[in-house]
Amino acid sequence: MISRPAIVLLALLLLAVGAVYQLKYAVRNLELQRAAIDRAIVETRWRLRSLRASWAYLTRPERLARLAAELGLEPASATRIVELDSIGTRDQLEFAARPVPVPLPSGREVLLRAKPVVTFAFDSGRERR
Amino acid sequence: MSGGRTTAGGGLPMVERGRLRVRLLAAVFALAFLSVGIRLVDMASGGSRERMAAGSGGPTAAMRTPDRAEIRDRNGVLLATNVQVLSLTADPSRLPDPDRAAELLAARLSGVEAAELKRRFAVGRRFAWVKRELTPAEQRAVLELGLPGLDFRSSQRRLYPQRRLASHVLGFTGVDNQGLAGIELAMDERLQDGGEPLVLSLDVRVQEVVRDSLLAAYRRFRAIGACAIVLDVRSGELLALVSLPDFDPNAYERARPAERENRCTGGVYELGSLFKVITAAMALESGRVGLYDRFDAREPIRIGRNRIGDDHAKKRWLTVPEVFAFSSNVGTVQMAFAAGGATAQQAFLERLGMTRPLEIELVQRGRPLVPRRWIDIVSATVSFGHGIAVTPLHFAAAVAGLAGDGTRVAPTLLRRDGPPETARPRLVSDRTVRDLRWLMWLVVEKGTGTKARLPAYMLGGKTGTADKPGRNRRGYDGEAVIASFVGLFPIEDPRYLVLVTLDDPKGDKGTFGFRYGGWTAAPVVATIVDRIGPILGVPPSRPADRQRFAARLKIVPTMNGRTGEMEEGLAALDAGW
Repeated sequence: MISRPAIVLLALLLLAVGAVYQLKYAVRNLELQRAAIDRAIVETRWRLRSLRASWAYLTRPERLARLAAELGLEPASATRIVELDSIGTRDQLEFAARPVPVPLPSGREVLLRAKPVVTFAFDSGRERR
Repeated sequence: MSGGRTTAGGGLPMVERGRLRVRLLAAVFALAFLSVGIRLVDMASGGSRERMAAGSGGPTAAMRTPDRAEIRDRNGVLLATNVQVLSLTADPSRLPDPDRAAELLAARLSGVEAAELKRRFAVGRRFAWVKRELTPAEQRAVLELGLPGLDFRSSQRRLYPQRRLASHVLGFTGVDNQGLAGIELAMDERLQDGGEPLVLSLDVRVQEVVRDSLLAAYRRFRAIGACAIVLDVRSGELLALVSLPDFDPNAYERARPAERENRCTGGVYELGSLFKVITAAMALESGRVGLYDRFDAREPIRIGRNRIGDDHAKKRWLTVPEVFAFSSNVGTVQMAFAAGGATAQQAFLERLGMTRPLEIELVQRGRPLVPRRWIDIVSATVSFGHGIAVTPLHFAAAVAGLAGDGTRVAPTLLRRDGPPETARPRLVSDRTVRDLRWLMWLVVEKGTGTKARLPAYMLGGKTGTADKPGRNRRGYDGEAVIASFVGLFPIEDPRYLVLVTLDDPKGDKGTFGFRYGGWTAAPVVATIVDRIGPILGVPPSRPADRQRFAARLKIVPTMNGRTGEMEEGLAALDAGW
């Protein structure tokens, strides 16, 4: 009764309807996902913000100074800075750091290593009092 | 004809026409369905795009719109930021058992009373606050209760993680996130726009050292207020600005007016002998006073009916280095008059910017109190810092200019990137700069500021102990003083200026009861310099520079006119300067 082209058309129509239906739902799902991700991003950003604030709060210099003091550390002082010149030349340091073989009474030989000790001294002789 | 044809071959044309109609109709329907179908597909897929456009898309926008820009220090350390806080509300009508809920909530939220909650829930409205600003732990506890009828509301809060550290610089914002004080108010528009963080010139490490050192002195000497400034002499950037007493901007509503006052930029003070730096620079620059001149300081100086004397009069002739190092009023007044008196002073102060309100990115900007009539006695007192009142920052900027590179320094609280702005107006010649640096070195080496001496750096400075005006603003209190010290380091090529002022310090045993700037403020400056030098990477002064400065000093035994004893007389040598 129904012509063949009509059947083909009907089938196509049904297929199209199905496809649109599918598409519609796929898009809806993606949209929901997107909204969830957006929310998660905003939430994560805020969390990041508050974590950064916590970090700044916990590493504030006043607290670090207190904690360092509890560990026995002292505030820095400019007297701890010395010019390279005042701790000897590279050659001197290398010479001083050179290991020296020393035979022990037992007959064993050990390497003795001198560790340069840096002392701080200003030439106070130049200051007239 | 046609009619005949219709009737004659009636069946065929009629059927033909009918078919045509059907086809036409079918075509129309097909078109209609097609358009509906296309629209359907379009709505399913493309519709989201429209919605996206309507929501003007994405999480960034949702986050940015209500957001105030962060404030950071010069190294990127967070000073002010916005965080989201959740508050808990309830719809009592939806709570299964309001009384039970009140008890459960009170047990989990700090600072919430069960009785008070019950009362709020019983009022009968459909809305009640449970608690504002919950901690994350409290949020979890409430969620675990799983009670219906509870709701979270999110809002934003300005947070200052460094607490009191930079309260006067930062200021604070109100409930609607609008700036109410400090840089939050002065730069409100920029901050409201959101976007990139505002980067200040402050260094929290330096700020902390300065606050810590100043607080110790403030407490020890029971001062009523204090201010400390660290200024980069070359760029004009403020690395630290501390005013005490201070407050926590997170709880600004609890701050008292005295705590909110910014003493470094808001208050104007007669700074006393500190001003001799300016008088000395003016005198040397005028060319009418040289480093080798002497002034008669045997007797107090008389101007009209007024007598101006020295605190520790030596009652002899003083060289210019001695006038400066021993802080002689008598000598300084004569230097000011020799340099041209009132006319010269007015012009010089004007050039230094001491007569105009401060220019800084803050709201509390003090307006100097400048004399209206420059009669001789006014001129005389101004030379040693009385009768003129400026903010500590005014003074710091002026000295940074005079002893820095001789050009005007414009202080700023914002980090300067790139080279400093070109062509700063020249204040004094290089020669004056060199002489002034040497005089300031001498103060610390041999004069009133020896308590600021440090092993690592050569410091230059000037002490000041100014009488505070009496309560009725007439005359002087006679009791209270402003003790201060301005220091530059390293003085052979100044990088940073440190200014400390203490308002009404009381001497103690350690200072033998003295309240002089040299006893109270100078050690604070020394402590600060010793601690911030390594942070800022300033190399210690070289022995060669120490020698160069020391070589210019000539010590000549001289008789003190008051005690009759021999003492060190100081004079300058022209050792290749």
